Amino acid sequence: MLLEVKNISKSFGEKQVLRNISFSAQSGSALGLLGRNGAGKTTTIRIIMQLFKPNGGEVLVDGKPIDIKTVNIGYMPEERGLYPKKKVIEQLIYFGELRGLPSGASKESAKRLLKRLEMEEYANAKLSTLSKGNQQKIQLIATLISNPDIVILDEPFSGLDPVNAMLLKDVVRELIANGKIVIFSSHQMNYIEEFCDNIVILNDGVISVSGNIKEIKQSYTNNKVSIETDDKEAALKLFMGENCVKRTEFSDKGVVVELVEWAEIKDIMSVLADSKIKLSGVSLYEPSLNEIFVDYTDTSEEEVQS
Amino acid sequence: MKQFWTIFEFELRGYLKNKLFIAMTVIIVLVIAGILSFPRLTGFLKDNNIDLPSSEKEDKKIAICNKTGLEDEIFEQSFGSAFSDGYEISFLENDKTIKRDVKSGQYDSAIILESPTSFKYVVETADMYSTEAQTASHVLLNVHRYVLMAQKGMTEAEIAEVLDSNIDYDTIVTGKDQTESFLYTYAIIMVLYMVLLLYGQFVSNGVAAEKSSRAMEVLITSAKSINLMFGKVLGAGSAGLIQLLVILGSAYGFYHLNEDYVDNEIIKSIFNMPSDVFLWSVLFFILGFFMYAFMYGAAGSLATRTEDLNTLVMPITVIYMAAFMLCVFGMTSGGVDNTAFKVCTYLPTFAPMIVFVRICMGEIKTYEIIISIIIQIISIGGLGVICAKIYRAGVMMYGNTPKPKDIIKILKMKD
Repeated sequence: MLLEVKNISKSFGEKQVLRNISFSAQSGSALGLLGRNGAGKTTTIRIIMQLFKPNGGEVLVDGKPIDIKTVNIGYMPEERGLYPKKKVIEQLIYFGELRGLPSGASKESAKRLLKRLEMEEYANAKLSTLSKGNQQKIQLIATLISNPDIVILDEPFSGLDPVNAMLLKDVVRELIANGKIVIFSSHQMNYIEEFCDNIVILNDGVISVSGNIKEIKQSYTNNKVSIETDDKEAALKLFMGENCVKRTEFSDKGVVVELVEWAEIKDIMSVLADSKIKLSGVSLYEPSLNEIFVDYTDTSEEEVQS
Repeated sequence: MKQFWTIFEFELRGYLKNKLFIAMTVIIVLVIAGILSFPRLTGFLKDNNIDLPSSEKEDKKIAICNKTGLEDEIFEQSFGSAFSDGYEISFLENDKTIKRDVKSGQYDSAIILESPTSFKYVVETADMYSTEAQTASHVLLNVHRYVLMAQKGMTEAEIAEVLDSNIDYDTIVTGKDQTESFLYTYAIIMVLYMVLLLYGQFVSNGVAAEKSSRAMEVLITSAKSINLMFGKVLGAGSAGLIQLLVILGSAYGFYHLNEDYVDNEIIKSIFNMPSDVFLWSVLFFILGFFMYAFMYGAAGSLATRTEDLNTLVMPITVIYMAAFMLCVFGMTSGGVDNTAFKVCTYLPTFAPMIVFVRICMGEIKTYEIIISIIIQIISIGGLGVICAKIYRAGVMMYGNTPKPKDIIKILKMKD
């Protein structure tokens, strides 16, 4: 299955929320939908779910306009919420039935997922009596109850302890392995990097960058060299006062040197060669997804300049 | 359609399993059972010579002071026979201490006869239902007439004939007997008013709770808003109808068990209402419920917090109260077929109560009933669709309480 979002635009009254958003996701892969608060992620998700009609553009599944009646979508909203006063099993069956499962199948699915997420013992408990993390697992079960083809998870890991996070990771891996399209919306970049091959970074209603994470990282020009050494202090001093160096800073394994221009790398190499510092490695600095995210979405610098 | 039934069943089950709902029903049934069985139980206890606090009232003490100049004897005789049962009459020489004595409770009341055609009635607390002054007035008038006729030389027998003559009359009702229908109509309107208000609020609270617990986000992405709205409203409506039938059924049962012992005219009138009135009331309960429940549901979906909910449902409640007040005013003044009522027959938000009152107490024409019901059904359908739309947009709106122009904007929105 191929989910394509093509040139979507949406405005609420005067305010344009999305402009020409396009991306696609393939069965058996996860897509990271990133963006700061208010960037338009939830609106994009709601358009995919046909809750909003876009002002322009379309959402296609295998080349045809998406029809929510035939395409099974499971959505876990960022704002969690089910019925606090009702029994867990009761509401899970209800949500399964709402999504078109017969009552028996819904019950079976609820039981299977409760078991998978180690929540069997809470089947007959009222939701409000569960801890936050456990309520979140129930929310995930409600999302997956109808065995959806497309799973949209908004901040699925927030509030989970490491053990539960691990369990959830396994479940997500299973979903991907089972050929589902998983769309992640999260601010926790480590999870995005772990699961997603492709990302879309939204900023103020437009896509500022999208594509394969590795390619994005490779094409991200930053003129930075990572120097690995145990003698961090000496390495830092070495480059102080050099005209070609814009900035130096400590990193986990040594120091990172940012050059004014990439061509000056040879000067750095000769400085290093002349020094007596014991090196364990010199490499091109690979930016983290977090840095890329901040770089593409932080508008404060531009605002100051303009 | 399957989705609608799923929602309907979930909502209905939610109400029927709700402890508060069950407790409320049980308490109301018990209270009704208590009221209706009370006369029989007290009768039973009395028959078995069980001492009960004496229900026999003490005689009322009335002081009479004659300042008319006529002989005391004539008044003693006439007042004595007029206040024979349950009264103790004392004649006083003068009225100096009479007010003080009434105030102190020595006498319950006093009658000071100032002249053959005027008197003062002194009482500590004027009882709304007391007929003492009227009786006194009647007695005094008769004495006055007697004296006048005697002065004209009429014999005792002639005077008695004049004074004792009575006029017989019969009332032939060609339309509705409002004296008979008033009580049960009033009772049903009252019940309708309370029940519709209660269930309307149930719907709006339910929607607002789903919104504040954010269950909405999942619901709205899992089900069609029109199914959600109709499922919820019909679920609450059916729960209401079931509760109402349980309460009315048990009331009817207890009444028939105790029928011979109930001597309260109000209760008798209510339970002996014509069966078609009962069926009409069920029909208008259903129509009225949907009319208001959709509006309450839409209001609930617009609220972000419970405080907002009160502000949002207020306009609906005001319309509803206006309809109720109009009914009550019309009923008490007897004018249920005037222009205001005729116009309101066709106003869908007023019609459920107005038409019912006119059927029970007025001269509504069949075509008026049919047109009104058709208008109501069409309005309910339209309202359902509009409210589902508001609901769909409303549940995703968080923040400030929406203003009327925001609601109009939602209705204009294509999606």
